This record gives sequence, structure tokens and C-alpha cells, in this order.
Amino acid sequence: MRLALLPVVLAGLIACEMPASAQTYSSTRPIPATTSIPTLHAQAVARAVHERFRIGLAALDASDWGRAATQFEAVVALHPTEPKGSTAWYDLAIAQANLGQNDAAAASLNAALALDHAFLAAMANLIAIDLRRGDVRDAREVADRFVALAPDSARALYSRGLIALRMDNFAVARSDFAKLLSNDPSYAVAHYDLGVTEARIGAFGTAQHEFASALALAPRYARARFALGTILLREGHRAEALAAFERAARDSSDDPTLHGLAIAMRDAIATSH
Amino acid sequence: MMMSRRVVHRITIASLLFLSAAGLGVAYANAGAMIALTRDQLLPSAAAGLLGPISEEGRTGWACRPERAAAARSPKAAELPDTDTH
Repeated sequence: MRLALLPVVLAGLIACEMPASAQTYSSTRPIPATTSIPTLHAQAVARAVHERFRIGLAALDASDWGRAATQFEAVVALHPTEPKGSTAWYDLAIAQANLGQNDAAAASLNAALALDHAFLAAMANLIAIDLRRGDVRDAREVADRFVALAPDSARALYSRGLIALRMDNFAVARSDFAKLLSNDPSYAVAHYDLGVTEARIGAFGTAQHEFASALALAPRYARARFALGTILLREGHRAEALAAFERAARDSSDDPTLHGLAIAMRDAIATSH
Repeated sequence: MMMSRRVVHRITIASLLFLSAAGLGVAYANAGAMIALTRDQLLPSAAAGLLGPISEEGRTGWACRPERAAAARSPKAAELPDTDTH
């Protein structure tokens, strides 16, 4: 009986063909599923933008500024959609700035901001480039927009404070550095800048306090030590000023200009007794 | 003769006083010059450096480090100069 069933079972197994399941692979380059010319053109542009971004970013990473600029110039010429357009202008500006083409870099960042009005990194870099090319007025205008969009941004407050100080706009400088410090009281550089602002106004007592605060946070901060020495000298504390310049000279070996000044001041006080 | 000695003495004292005053004036002038020199050296800190490149995905999202640095509240996260770099 059992032997009689065996052929039936074997026949059943043969008849029951096991289908091999097809193995699928995800394609990194989807095959165009269209014959539409505009669609194919858009896909080709997207592909070109993607590849040029990849090559351009690798060139920036390798400090190959000329190659990077070529790639991003090609991207912006293709007028890609957002955010690729503003991003390409932003990256192009980095390459141009490193090539010393600061005017072109500023124009590229303005193009990025025309496409994306709230692009904070573009504003930050435009301020840096404006200051390099001496356009303080434009830097101030961008810094005002930056602070309006990001009132707690440390970079926005720091940048506008420095620009305001350069423009002798001490009220804004004082307000921005004070706010920066209220957000992070441990930032010694902001204490120093607030001290410089106070000294420029003539509030030497407050300036001395801010320089001392900077030095309490960073005892080897040679520029703050030198600044403290100038206030002490002005207030007639020659011995303390001499000690401050002596220490500033010791701590500024990596800054030849400051080192030379500190030594000159120390020697001038020592010989004027 | 006595008169002339007295005159010479007075002239000497006057000269010494004049020289002292002149010396004091020079000292004050030097102090003023030193203070003026140091005031010119009270320079603000350095401007912040450039933020780095952004990938084609753009500035939105947590993966964009430059945009996060631009918006950061903390000076360190904002990549601002520290006491060694300015």
C-alpha cells in the first residue's frame, strides 16, 4: 500500500515546481521611465548638479579652490531649484574667498541670500568677507538683519558688536557684548571686547573690571593683560602696570606684535622712573 | 663781587628749576605719549572666520553644521575666536 503511494508522491513533487524568487537590486541611477524631452532634460540637469556638487565639495575639502569654484560656477549656471541654488552660491563664495576674490565672494553670498532670505550661514560669511574688503557699512546692514532673524545667535551678536565698535557706535557694541555675556558669562573674549568698548567711552573703571573678568577666566590671555596694563598706567598705578606688561610680554610669545609692544611698554615704564 | 655771586647763584637756581620743570614736562609728555600709544593698541578681538561648506541637501536640518553654528547661542558652538586665536 505504501509502495503504491510512492509514485504519486514523487509525481506530486515534480509537478509542484518551486519558482525561483527574483532578486532585486536597488538602483543608484533610476532608469528614466519617460520619453518626455523636458523630463529627460530635468533629470540630466539634476544628475549634473549632483555630480558637480560631489566634485566641488571634495575639492573644497582638499583646498583645491580653483577646481571647486569651477564646479560651483557650473552648478549656478544650471539654475537648480532650492535649496541647491542658494547652497551652490554659498559654496562658490567659500572657494572665491580662499582665492582672494572677496568682491566676487560677496556677490555670490548676496545671490544666495536673494534666493534664501533667512540663510544665516550666508549672512555670517558675508559679514566676514565684507570686513575683509573693508565694507563696514554693508557688514553692518547684514549684521542688523542677522540679529533680527536670530537675536540669541552668538555669532550675530559678536559680529555686530565688533562692527559697531569699529563705527564708534558704542551703545550698540556695549548692548551686543553684554547680551552675549548674559547668554554665556564664561566667554572671556566678550569681556575683553566689552572692556575695549568701555575704555573707548572713557569708563575706565568698568573697562578695568571687564579686563580683570577676562583674565579671571583666561589667565594667559595676553591681549587682555596688556589692555589692563594700559588702564593701570592711565590711572597712575605704574608698578601694577609694569607687572601687567611684564606678564603680557611673557604670555604673548605667539603674537610678535603684541610681544614687542608689551616689552616696549615695560621698558618705557622701567626707564622713566 | 658779592652781588655778582648772588646773581650767579640765583641764575643757577633758576636754571636748575627750569631744567627740572622741563624734565618734568618731558616726563609728562612721555607719559602722555605712552598713554596715547597704549590707547591705540586697545584693539577689538578678531572677526569670526568663515563657516564651512554645505552639501547639496541645503542648510535645513541638524546635519548642516555651518547653519547650526550661525544660529548657536554658545560662542564655542558658534565657532567664535577664543583667547588663543585672536
